[in-house]
Amino acid sequence: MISTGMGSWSPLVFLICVAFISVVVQIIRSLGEGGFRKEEDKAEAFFSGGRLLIKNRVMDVYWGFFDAMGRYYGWMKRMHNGIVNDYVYWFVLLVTVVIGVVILL
Amino acid sequence: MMEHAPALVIAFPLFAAFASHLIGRLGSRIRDIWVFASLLLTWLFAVFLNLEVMQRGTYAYTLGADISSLASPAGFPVRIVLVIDGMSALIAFMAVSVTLASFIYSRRFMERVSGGGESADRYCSLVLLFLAGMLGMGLTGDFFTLFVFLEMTSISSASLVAFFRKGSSFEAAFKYMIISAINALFLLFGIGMIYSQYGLLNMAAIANEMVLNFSFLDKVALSLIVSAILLKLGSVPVHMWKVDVYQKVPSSVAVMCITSSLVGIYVLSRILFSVFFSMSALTGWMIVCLGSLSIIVGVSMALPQKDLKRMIAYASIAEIGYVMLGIGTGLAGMSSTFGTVALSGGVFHIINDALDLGLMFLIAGAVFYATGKTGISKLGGIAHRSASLSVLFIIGMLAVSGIPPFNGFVSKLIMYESVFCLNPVLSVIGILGSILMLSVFVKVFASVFLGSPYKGKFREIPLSMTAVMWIFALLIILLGLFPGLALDGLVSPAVEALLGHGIYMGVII
Repeated sequence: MISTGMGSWSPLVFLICVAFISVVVQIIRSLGEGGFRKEEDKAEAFFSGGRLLIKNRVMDVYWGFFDAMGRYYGWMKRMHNGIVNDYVYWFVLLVTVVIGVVILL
Repeated sequence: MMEHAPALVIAFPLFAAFASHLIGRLGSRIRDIWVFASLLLTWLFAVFLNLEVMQRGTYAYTLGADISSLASPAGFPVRIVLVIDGMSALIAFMAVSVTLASFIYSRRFMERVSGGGESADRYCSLVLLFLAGMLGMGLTGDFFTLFVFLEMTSISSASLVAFFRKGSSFEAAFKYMIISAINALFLLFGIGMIYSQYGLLNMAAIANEMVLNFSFLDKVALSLIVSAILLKLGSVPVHMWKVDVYQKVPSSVAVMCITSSLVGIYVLSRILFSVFFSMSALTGWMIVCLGSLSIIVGVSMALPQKDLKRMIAYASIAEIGYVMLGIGTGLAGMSSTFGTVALSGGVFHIINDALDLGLMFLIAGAVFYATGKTGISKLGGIAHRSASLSVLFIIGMLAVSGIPPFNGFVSKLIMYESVFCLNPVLSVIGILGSILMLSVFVKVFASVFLGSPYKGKFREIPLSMTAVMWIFALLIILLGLFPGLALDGLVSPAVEALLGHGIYMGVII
């Protein structure tokens, strides 16, 4: 048991809880429908009726997130352009901000 | 002989670096035995330093003095003084341990990718030089020696970045050299400003002078030095070079680069806690803000990456952000309990990052060794070919993402609870970062390890590489299940050393 400032943490208690929950899950699972077949549509991913713009691959699993955050990622892409001159500009900006903060505040 | 351990721990890898190239002429096997023996001896010296600190507390070692423990044998000369305390001894131990593991891992890897011979000789020399630089940065008590050792790490690591001798490796090395040059220039400029005022280079002596008179020029010097170190450790917004470099460097060297960044964090902490401690509240908030930004940008940019190593590089930026969050809170709340707890979390996370991110890079290296690829979309079904690698990836993934009961969770939990006292938003950023981190690695796991069996050529991963990865994984599990081992034995003395700036000055003055 270690103190974490506002509380405490014990890996042993956690592992006991995990073991207990696993047993409960197994019991609930054993009470489920025995005749379920994966081939049925029930096993397909549900896309909330939204438009699925791309092919369903693992790499595209967060396409909705990227779609919603398009402007942020567009800006980030411009920032991470691989040009070393721009890296130096960012450093100059950092130095300016740090000097400004340390001297003015 | 052991009284000279602080000097020997740096001198030995330095000597071994130059000797290994000559010994390489006798054969690769003899060279490997030499490098391994040198690293093992250096590791024993680092262990001795930790044991010595536990017994003696903080102490200084002056190079060239009649009595090495006297830092000022005649007035206050310009001399190289090494300061050994809980924090510097921990950093030295971590740097040597990671380098030793990285060397064992890289033997077969390098044979395959470089074909052995002279390039392997160069690799051994550069790795030992890199280690000597990190050890020097960790143990030095004066600014100029810090600058010299920082340059040593920069030059050796830039050469290692270009190791594959391809166009893209040269490009990454070129970028790294430019960044290192700017970093060194600004650091030297800041050190020069301090020297021009006090005529001193020793950190403790400068801190002693600053207690009486903290000038405008000191503030400018602080800004330049802090900015230079932030560039070195790859904090947002000066993190972009890190991704380019980590993607191109051999995985065994990437592990050392991560350790080098963590040594950079130590240097930042040492300077802010032991020299510029009168500005702790302001600098603390600054580090907290940059750390939070690093978490957000690092993890959000890791998500869309399509290259395994590039993705881990972005994850490492976020993880460095967590350390900054803990250390910054420690600075901002220096006299409070939550500040001390946050600092403990930050220091513990330094150890955890070396293990967790180290393991992820080693796995990426093993995947590259086996398949010759690191593109996520080009891989798939690796679990069918190597179940061991899949289990290792799951352990690393859960540890980096801060999932219990692994080590990353403990340090992050300590930080969430303590930074909450500084500002609840910081805890929210930390937890959100961990959730996104898990989503990053889950996607990679599904892409690289699951699916139909990998159809391309799959080379068996050598035992030496697998063994090193399992050692990392077992340490992750051990520190997760028994965090008290690290917190009581390594972290607490380190935190006391950082907070005890009076003791630090007292050893020298």
